[in-house]
Amino acid sequence: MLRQPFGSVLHNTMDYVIKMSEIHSETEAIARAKKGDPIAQRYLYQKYRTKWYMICLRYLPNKADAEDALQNGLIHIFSKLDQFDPKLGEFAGWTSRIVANDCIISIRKNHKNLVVQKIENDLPVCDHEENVLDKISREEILKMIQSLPTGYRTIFNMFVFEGYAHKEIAEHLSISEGTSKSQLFKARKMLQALLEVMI
Amino acid sequence: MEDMHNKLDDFLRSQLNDSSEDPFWNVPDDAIFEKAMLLVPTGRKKRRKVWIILSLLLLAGLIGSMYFHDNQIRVLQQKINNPPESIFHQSPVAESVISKSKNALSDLSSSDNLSSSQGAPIELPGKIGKQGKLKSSSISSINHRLANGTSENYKSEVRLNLDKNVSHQLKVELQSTAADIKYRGERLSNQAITKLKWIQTRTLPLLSLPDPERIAKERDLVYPNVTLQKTAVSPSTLRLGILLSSNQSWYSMKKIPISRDVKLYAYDNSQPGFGISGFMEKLLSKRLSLRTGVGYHSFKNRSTLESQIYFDMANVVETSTGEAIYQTDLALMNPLGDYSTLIEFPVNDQMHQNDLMQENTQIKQIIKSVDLNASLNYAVIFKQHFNLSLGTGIGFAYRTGLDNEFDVSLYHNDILYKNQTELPTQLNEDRRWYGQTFGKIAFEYRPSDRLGLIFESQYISGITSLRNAGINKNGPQTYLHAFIFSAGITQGF
Repeated sequence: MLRQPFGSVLHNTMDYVIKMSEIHSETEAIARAKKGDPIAQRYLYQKYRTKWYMICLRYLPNKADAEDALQNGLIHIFSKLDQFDPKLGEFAGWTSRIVANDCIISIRKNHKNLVVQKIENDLPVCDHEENVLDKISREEILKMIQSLPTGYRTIFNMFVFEGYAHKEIAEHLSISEGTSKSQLFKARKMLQALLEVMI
Repeated sequence: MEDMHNKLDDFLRSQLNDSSEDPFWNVPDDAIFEKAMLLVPTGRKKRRKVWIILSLLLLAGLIGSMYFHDNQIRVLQQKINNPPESIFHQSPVAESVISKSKNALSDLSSSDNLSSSQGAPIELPGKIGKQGKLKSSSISSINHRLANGTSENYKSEVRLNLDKNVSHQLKVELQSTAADIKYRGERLSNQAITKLKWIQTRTLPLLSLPDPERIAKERDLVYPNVTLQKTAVSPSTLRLGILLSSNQSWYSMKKIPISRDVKLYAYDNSQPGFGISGFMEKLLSKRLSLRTGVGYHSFKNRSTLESQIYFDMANVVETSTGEAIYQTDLALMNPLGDYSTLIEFPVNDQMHQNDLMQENTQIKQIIKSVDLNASLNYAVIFKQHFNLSLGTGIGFAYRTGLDNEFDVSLYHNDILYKNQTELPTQLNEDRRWYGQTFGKIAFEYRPSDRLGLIFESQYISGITSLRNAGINKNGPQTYLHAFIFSAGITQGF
């Protein structure tokens, strides 16, 4: 549970809404946020907060951990905003990588050993038609990923959603490439089994 | 198999990467954003860094200019004492004049012939007669005039009275700074030195001229009838100053009860505290001074408390919404005293009676205090425009404010529960008065006798505990330590 921090600022809602409407594009918001414009910062936060929070929830099933990681990610994003160059990539991708890195750091801090020892040998391998998968809601999918053991979940997220290669995952988590590949395989098998149960 | 994996990955990505906002799901609390923005460095903090860099550059520039200044004096003194050889060989008599002038200057610094009454004025050697002949005369004793008859507060200066009939104004390059000439440790005034050099350098341009022209010009020169009266200049004996400072502080703790279940650590704080202070400094001798001061400082400190508690089903309560909540009093030992607070977190079916839970509390405390202090300072390097001094002293502080913030984290089976709380400003055991001792090094630059810029580095150490051990003198004790860096201005009177 996070309580309201001491001395936080309360905004006048109407005044805030009017000022937000003065921002016409993300590019303008980024330029103004770099200069410290709080309205522009809030504009960017409101546009991407769901995406960033989803990243945190994928890595950290505990809500308090996810909120802490999101807060750290916000601090890093807006502290390093000067370093963002739109010519090198999109803002969404740049910020997603920062938030994901903060999640990984949080996991590494709290979990010394990410390698899952238990081996589930009897997980069925399933193949599903797409129209069947559509019946599963986003919330259920998120819970499925959150239910994975920490090691599986971290490697799965890094590979599938953040696009890390196994070599990069191995360097980040101080494991071998082989371990990364095997943990990913097991994560997928477990997810497929969970899907089977749901359907 | 690979296709199946790719299909699963694509499906999951398409479902979870959709950034369209469902107002009822997955929207984080705005308080997270508010709190994060408080911790993002603003332009003001960035500008503070620029000011710090500019101040350091200014300090480097001041030190460099003083070195250059001193170097100019050394070069000038060398010119006075060692004029170019090309001038000497033209006139042996001029060489004698210059040599005796140098002796006169050195005699000024070594002569012990003082009297308290007005005596005959001294005459510089090297009078230039109308016929172009150079005469020399001996130096009589130097007379010392007292301004108000006291030996402690006397004023003196070297004044050269030139004959009004000096007409032939030769263009002479005068340096604006004075050579480092001393008489009995007293510095001769800049005006006196300038005039002494004028006398010497007045002859040099003549000597560089070809003979017929030189003789003609020498004929026009008038006797410089120089009288020498010496008075000394005393420095200001009282200085007032004001300083702005930043500090890094930490605790040292003794006799803190540590067990397997409870451990308390203090560690370095990454956030600096700030302060402002004023002082009055009385000069006891040329290098020794006594300073008294008053200041206001804030000290920020962090510590960590680790403990273990055992889950007790008797502490589980059900809320009005039917949620099971665990409530317990947690003993929050901290460097300034012990305090108990109520914490609560949701219960799940993984928790059982006597389960071990690890507790980790981050403690942030800000101590604000007013202090009075006295110190003795000794100038190890003492120059006309700057000095470097060492000092040591003692002080007493009164705590005017205390902020406490506790961030409690409880772990059960690797699941984290968090709680944040603030404590009252007065804890059960802390004391408001505490004593401290300090040592410091200070660098002061004085462009004039009245005004100075001062930079100080100070280490303070608490000599009394911030905790009131009460009747039990063997109880826990906490001492405050800090490095304080200050910059300010001084005014002499």
